[in-house]
Amino acid sequence: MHDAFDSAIRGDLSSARFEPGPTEDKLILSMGPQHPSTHGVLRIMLELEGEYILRAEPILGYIHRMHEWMAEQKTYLQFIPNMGRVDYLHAMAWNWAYAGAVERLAGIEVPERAEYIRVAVTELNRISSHLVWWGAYLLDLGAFTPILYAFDDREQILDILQSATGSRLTYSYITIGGVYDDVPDDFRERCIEFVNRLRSRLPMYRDLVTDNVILRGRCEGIGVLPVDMARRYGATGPVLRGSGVASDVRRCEPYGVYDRFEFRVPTYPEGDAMARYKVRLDELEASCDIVEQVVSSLPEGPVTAKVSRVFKPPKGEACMAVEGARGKILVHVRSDGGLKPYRVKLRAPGFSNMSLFSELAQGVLLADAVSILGSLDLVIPEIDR
Amino acid sequence: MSIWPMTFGIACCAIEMMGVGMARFDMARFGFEVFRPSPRQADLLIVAGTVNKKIAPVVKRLYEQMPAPRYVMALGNCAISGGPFAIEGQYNVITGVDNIIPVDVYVPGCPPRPEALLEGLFAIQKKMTGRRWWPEPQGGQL
Amino acid sequence: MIPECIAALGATQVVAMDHAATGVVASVSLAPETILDAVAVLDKEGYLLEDVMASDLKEGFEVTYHFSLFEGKSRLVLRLIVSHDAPKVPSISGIYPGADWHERECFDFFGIDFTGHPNLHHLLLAEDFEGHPLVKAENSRKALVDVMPQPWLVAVGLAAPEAPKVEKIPAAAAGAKE
Repeated sequence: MHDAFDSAIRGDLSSARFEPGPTEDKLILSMGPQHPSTHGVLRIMLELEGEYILRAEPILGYIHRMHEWMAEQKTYLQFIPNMGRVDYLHAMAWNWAYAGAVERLAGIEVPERAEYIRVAVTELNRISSHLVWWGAYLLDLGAFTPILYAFDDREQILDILQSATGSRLTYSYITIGGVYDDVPDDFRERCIEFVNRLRSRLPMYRDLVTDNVILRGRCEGIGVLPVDMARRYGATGPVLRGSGVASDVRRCEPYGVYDRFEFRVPTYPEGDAMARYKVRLDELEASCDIVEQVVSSLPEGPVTAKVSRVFKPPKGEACMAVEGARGKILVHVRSDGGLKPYRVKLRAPGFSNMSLFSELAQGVLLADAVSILGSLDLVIPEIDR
Repeated sequence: MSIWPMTFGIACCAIEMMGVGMARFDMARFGFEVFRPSPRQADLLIVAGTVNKKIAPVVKRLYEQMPAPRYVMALGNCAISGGPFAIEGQYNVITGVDNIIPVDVYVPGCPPRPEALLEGLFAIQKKMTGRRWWPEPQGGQL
Repeated sequence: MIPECIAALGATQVVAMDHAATGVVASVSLAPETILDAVAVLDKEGYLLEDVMASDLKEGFEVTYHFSLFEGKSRLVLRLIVSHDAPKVPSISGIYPGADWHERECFDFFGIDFTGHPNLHHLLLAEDFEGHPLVKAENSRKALVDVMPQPWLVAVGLAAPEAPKVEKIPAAAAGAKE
């Protein structure tokens, strides 16, 4: 039996383990799970001395939706919609990782047209994910306007993807054996029109935002991540590329038809929040290049391989790595030859990227911690799965 | 009349909620301009996403912290009934936020289109004032 | 192509795998006691820790670690099995701090005890959650022979290689020989 005052001191069940340290003049702050800057339901227990963070410990699980457990209850095809909900901002990449792992397991060959379409929609999805990140990051830092522009561009992508897939956000388009349905006839024109439009907007974003002295003050030198620390935490994607390592799954372990296209893998050596920011903005351009090349050379043919309704892959295990907007997505599928998977493991890039936050945030100002959190580009449902 | 929603996006539906706040769908023109992060200053709690056992006490506390009159919108299938996660034998999802707080308007969809969210907001306004304030969309029945 | 450092891992079994079919280049089976030394070798070679996962089999809980280099197709999987009754595995979070959360997740879902872990309590599940959700019921557990690919089973000796097909001599020729 405890009353409200008592619970204010002891906190709740999840924060009870956070023991205060020995420092005299400290404040224990529970940031979240409802907070405008945590990008979802993330809770971080902070021990502060003034504005400086002595210790930060994230508490997860507020959006744990049992995806890995559900994989064992559903058939292979029934599980695909779950993949759209794991990381809803880059749902296509998760779809692809799971479908690719199952295709490897069952030895299914995907038709060429489907491979091209997969690249096109995944890159468009990546652009929309980076735009949401960009807008939300700047919103956290206090800039209200860029998110409106970002969402304006994003709505164009959503219209294109809706005409192709039927959904705006949580796609289940990439399926085992190919894609669900063919793209409409005007897909090529709309993609090229969008790419040209975004390319004409990017200089404005660079002049107004990237070169903005306030943004640079809040991002440069903040949250410097050494390469060795990134490696030992398993950080991948723009977080790793912002520390100088040119590691991109599309280049290192090419999947689909990525090896047929020319694109940059932007890398910046500084390792701070500004470097990660610049990596993602350059990736917008790189993805535009890929989309343009893909839709200009789309071959004819079927869009899906024949997969039986009663799909039983042979026993075995396979994994597939895909470059998501946040980093390396890895899906492991283990089959016992039955209708339902035996085990599916979803390796989320955000999980590893987030785990380095507590070390990265030691000794920084609270406002800088918000900047670091935003620069890691976290989507909490992906971390909690 | 202007209602102040609270920023409480839990999962995927939160992105559609953000999209409704942006330039294309713009709920500001219907009066919902001011999103407040603090429940003390908010009129409307939009539960956008799946409520699981760990976040349920938090949702309840936020609702209790809102001063009356307050309204709740369950946005998306997860908030209405657990959505795609309410399968038999599941261990972590609350099958519908109306199990813990009273809900005024339910907006189905996974995620609902921004227009559906706007219609849900109009239903809240109708519940508050007794009438619908905005023209009905052409070509469809409500 | 199996990298050279594998020889220093102290493995009980090393099987080269087909990357195009499985996503890994080599599967390394270890005894739980040797995992720390093996991981220290990989750390010196510059491997990145991708994940630590577990799976429930008849033989016990199979804990697998996935490592890869920054470049190229280089994914290794280290696997070890601990019994259901005493699932203890040394924690590698002293060498790879990223394993801290991965191991807590395995603890959440399977109840595996990672000895030496600084902070082993619930990560994703609520603090008062009872049970471990991904542990299977006894009658739905499968053994390694039911879930591993045939080439791996043959390489580790859990399955016999397929007998070579014998050409049948046509009856007319056999009659002519007589």
